[in-house]
Amino acid sequence: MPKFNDISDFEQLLKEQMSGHSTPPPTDAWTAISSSTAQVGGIINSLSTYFNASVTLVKTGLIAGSIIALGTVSYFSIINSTDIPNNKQENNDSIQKANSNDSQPTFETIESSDNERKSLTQNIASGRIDSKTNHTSAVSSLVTSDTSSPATKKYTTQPSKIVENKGGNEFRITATNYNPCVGETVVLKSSEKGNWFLNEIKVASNTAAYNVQCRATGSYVYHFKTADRTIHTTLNISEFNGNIVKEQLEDGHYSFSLSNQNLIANWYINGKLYSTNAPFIHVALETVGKHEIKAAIINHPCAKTLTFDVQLAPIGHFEAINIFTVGNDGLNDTYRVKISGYDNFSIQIFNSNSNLVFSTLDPEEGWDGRINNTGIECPQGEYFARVSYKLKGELPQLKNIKLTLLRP
Amino acid sequence: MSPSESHDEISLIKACSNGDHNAFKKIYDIHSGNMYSICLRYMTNEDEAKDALQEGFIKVFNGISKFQFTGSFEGWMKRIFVNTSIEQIRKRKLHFDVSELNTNELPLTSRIETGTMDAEKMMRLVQQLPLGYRTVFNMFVIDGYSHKEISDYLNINENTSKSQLFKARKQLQIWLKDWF
Repeated sequence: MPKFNDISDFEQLLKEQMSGHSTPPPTDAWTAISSSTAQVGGIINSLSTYFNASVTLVKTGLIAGSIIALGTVSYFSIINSTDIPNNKQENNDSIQKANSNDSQPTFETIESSDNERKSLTQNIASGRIDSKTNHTSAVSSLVTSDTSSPATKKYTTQPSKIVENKGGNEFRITATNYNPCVGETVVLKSSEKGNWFLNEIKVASNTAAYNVQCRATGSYVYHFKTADRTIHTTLNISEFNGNIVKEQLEDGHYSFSLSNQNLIANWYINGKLYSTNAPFIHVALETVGKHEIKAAIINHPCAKTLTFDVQLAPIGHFEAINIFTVGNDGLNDTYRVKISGYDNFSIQIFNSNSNLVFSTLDPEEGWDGRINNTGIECPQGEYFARVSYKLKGELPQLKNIKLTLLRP
Repeated sequence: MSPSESHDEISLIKACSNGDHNAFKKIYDIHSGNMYSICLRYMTNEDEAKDALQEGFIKVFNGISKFQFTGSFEGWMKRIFVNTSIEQIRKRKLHFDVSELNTNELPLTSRIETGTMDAEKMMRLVQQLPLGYRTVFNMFVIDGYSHKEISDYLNINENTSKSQLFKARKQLQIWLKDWF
């Protein structure tokens, strides 16, 4: 069993183990990939045709090129909105420092391919297809803006805000929080002064920062305009509503779930972490008394920690008498304690000299006054019963009962 | 990787960038296990990991023609999957302070058995970390991002990244105390 000197040993081993670590993905994972990629396969094909044919195209200036370029347009818009690593000049240094061996060539790759994309874009926008001006404008707007083609929307679930805001190095706006909650204040900042608009209504003028008071849920698009440029950002304001729902299952266990099915939480029972990242938990609550169920919601931007108290009533019951009379008078003829709802039980009865005269594990079996219910009759007098039992959901108990044996 | 294998890879990548779906399936078969491991490390559960895996492969297919053979193909793919996973995580707002976590307790659902430390156990340990800790730990320790990059990616302060890493390490140290 390996011992680690400190955490860095663990990290080193972890890093080694994880590089090249492989887990077979679910078998159905391929299906969705296959169906999504098959749809754009044709476009990729026409793109590569375009690459091969481009030299000829430059020479001959064939208008037919624009038809292929249309195919290319949708291809570019796909690339634009997916997150193929974008080579950003400002990040380059740190990336190379941090990744000494593996990633640097990776980024070179991306850089050169990025450049190629740019140059190709320029070619398309300015060069060969200028005879069709409507196509040219379509190309430049698609390539430079965030507009997603319908094909893109099939698998990119949100337009990337990061691209939108960090695209221009010198001119951009940022928000302190893009997914704020109702009641919070968000500061929108730009690198220069200008006017701020919400739904085409001016909300602030000639300022580089604007405070948004989040009052109601929804998606709000803020435009920032200077004399020559407009840029926008979207705030998604949300609110948290939810609570814990308790349900008792057939097997007596409890199920605690979240009223909103899309939520997941880290669950705590009486302050102890019970389960992580779960939409619901099944618990066998047994201990009598109060239980605090806590769910720390982790996938909602405005999450709160929810609590739910469960009070478990006692199940078992124990009662003992301390006198019994031997003789078939029908009243306390044998000595037994009343117990129900228990997990285990034992009784031992001793005489005043501390000699064992009777013992059993069965609460239904009573003592009839003879040694082990078979031998010599014990004399009248005082005896001690030592009862140990555990009622369901409660702590084990040990009781010493002084009892008196009476004979007629 | 032997020369013949790497030659195969190059021809596969070329075929795939020409839209050859069978070549893409082969690439998927070769790399999906490794990439799924990455997604599992970042994502909260297997469903999310599967989503990230699928999205990542679609990106690979769409972007493969940009691959220039100057670096390792696997490294290039790896970054796409890390990016995809992070993008998914970023969609939810990260919670960088899980003060409720009882740091002395391992989650009851999976205590570490004694015995040898293997990859699965280590991975499970990392997965037990709260999302914020785990993301930073994964990025910094395993995938080699700097705090500057992490802060850019996750839209957090660089110091937050550092403190998350510190907390993650502290948490792991507690969980691993029998191993030191």
